[in-house]
This record gives sequence, structure tokens and C-alpha cells, in this order.
Amino acid sequence: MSMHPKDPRCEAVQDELAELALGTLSGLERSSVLTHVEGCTNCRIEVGRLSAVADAVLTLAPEIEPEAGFEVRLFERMGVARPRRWGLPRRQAQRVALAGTALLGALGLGLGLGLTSGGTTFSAPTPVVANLTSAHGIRGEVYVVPGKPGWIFMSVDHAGTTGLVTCRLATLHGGTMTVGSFWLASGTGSWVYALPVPADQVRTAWVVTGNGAVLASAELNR
Amino acid sequence: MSELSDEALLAGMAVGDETAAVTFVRRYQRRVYGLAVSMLGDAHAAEDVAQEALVRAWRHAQVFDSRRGSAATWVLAITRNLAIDAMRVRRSTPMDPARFLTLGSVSQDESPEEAAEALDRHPGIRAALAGLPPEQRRALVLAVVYGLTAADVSERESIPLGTAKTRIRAALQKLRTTMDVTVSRS
Repeated sequence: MSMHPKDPRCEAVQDELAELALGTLSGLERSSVLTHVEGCTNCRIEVGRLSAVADAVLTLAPEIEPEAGFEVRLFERMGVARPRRWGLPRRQAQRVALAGTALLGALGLGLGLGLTSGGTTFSAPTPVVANLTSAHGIRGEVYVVPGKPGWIFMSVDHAGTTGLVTCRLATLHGGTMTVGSFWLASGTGSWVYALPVPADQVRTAWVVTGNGAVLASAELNR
Repeated sequence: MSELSDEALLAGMAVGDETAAVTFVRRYQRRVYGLAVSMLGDAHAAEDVAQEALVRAWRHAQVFDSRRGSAATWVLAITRNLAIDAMRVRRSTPMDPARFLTLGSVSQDESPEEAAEALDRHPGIRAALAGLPPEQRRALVLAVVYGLTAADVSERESIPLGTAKTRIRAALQKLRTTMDVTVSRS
């Protein structure tokens, strides 16, 4: 099973690589294994792969509905608004939604409308989502989310460049502005920023390279 | 907001967007609480851990780095570490690892949509875990989920230290092979 059994130094630390990946190695053993791993590309890759396996096992965690009141207590601790779920438990609500989406829609009860709880109004704003495209196709996504402040999230993939890029925006009123910069590594990167203008005023977003070339753009509110 | 990716929600949380936080909480609270319950076996302690994990995700969203793993593994790892701390404070012994696996199987009262979603999250890995020899599966869950060292596993299972190390390593490597195959096929 070992990736590189021929090197006796690698073979000697195989058990410890697993424990290093799990974070259960301690003290001198950890120090000794780390010294080897830092100088051995194969073992470093192996630790990364084993860590990914451990992460995957953790995602098998069961889904269990918390006790009643969990959300209320949690949102108090977080200091965020206290939205209330629909009056039906989640599973029941799903069934109702499946059975009567049209009816709910007719009653104006679709998700995304404002909810009230204890006098606090909570509105789930609807984000505007658009593809970032270039002449070569889709290069990522842009989310513009209303709020106070609104915010913009850019995710760029396979853009074929490495380096600092700039996000520029155009508004419906015709103004343009640079709102920030972020780093692309091997064409990939993501970035978030609080919007300097209302979200519904953003018309176009561009990703611009250091030499001013437009790498990709997205049309948001037309 | 509910259609935003996990990464986008965490990005929103990083700039203090409360609705992103609410959506994230509602997306993950059942998994976070489920992991805490399966580790601690006590609803009250599990709620403390689950709440603290989600509060930390809210407060530290800006340190999340999607290049180092998914949002799910990030928030579940926070939960796991807090639950391990709680177990140490309570001086409690880990639950039977079979409990994690049993609770983790698709529940009878899940809707077909939920069951499909749960299975899609980890293609092959559950089956691969179930296919391990029982002693390797126990050792792996004790180490991965409950944070036991090889020495702890050795003591708990009444086996030599070398055997505990080998079981953990062999189990991890078998699952890794499964994941490699899954990734290469996809």
C-alpha cells in the first residue's frame, strides 16, 4: 500500500505518517516525523492524502435534529437577528412544500420573504448570481448579496494566470469603480468584499489583470 | 441566500453578514449536533459543543481557506476538537465507535431526497468503511473521530501498541485507495 516502499527512511515512518495525518502524534515522535516529512515530497503528499481520508470519515457524522430552542439560544450567543423557522418542523415543512408548492406560492409564503420574530424582522435577501465569462468560456462566478452592507463574492477558476487581479464594478448609473484586489494562484482564487454601493446598483463586474486586461466579466443587474 | 455555496456563505460571514450566518447555521446545525451527540452521548453536552462550534465558525469565518478543505470538514473538525476537549474535561470515555457508524447510516425517517443527499456527500467512503475488518474500523473511528492516540487505542482495545498503529494505518490506506479510485472515476 505504501506509495514509496523502497526508501527505508520512508518505510520506517509509515505508521507515524497515519498518526501525523490524524493529529494524534505528540512530542518527540511528532518532531522526528515532521523532520523527515519536511524533506520528503512523497511522504508530504501521503500525509495530505491521509488527512483528506480522515476529513472524509468525519463527514459521515450523523445528522440529528437538535433540541427545541437550539437556534434561539445559538443566535443569542452569536448576536445575530433571531429569525424564526416556519411554524412546521423542517421535515414536515419539506413535505408540505413538495405537496403544495403552488399553494404556498399563491399565499405568498415562498422562501426569501421577510419573516418576523419577537418584533425583529428578518429578511433573507436574494443574491444575484452570474457567471464570470471570458472568450474561452466560464471562468467562475460572482455573487452580489443585498444587505447593510451588501457584499460581493468572486470565485475564479482556471483563468490561466497567476498574480494579483483587481475587481472593477460598473453601476446602473454608468459609474465605474475599483473595489479591491485578490490573488490568483494557477488561475484560481476567491475574494469577498463589502460593497461600496447598493447591491441592486451593480451592473457589471470585471476581473482585471495587473496590466489592465479584462480576464473575465459578469453581467449582474440589467 | 439558500442557494449560495458554503464558501460564499463563509465569505459573507467573514464580512459580518448575519443572513449568511443564519443560512450556514441552518445548513450545518444537524450535522454539527449529530457529530457532537455521537461523540459525547449526552444531549446537553452535545448542544454546548455544537453551539460553540457554530459560534466559532461565525467569529472566525475569515480564516477559512477553501484550498485546505471544504467548509463541511472545517466546521466538523472544529466540532470534533471541541468534543474531544469536553470529553477530557468530563473525563469521559469515548462512546462505542459502532455508535458513530450506526448513527451515521441513512436513517429510516429520512426522506428519499435527504437520503440521496447524504449518500452523495461521501461516495464510496461509507461502503469502504463498512468493508473494513471490524478491528480496523474500530481503531480508525477511535482515532479519527474520538482523537485517540495509538497508545490510547492500544489500551482501550487491549492490544499491543504496534498492532494498534498497524490497524489505524491499514484502515486509512484502504480508505485512501477507495477515495483515489472514486476521484479518478469522477
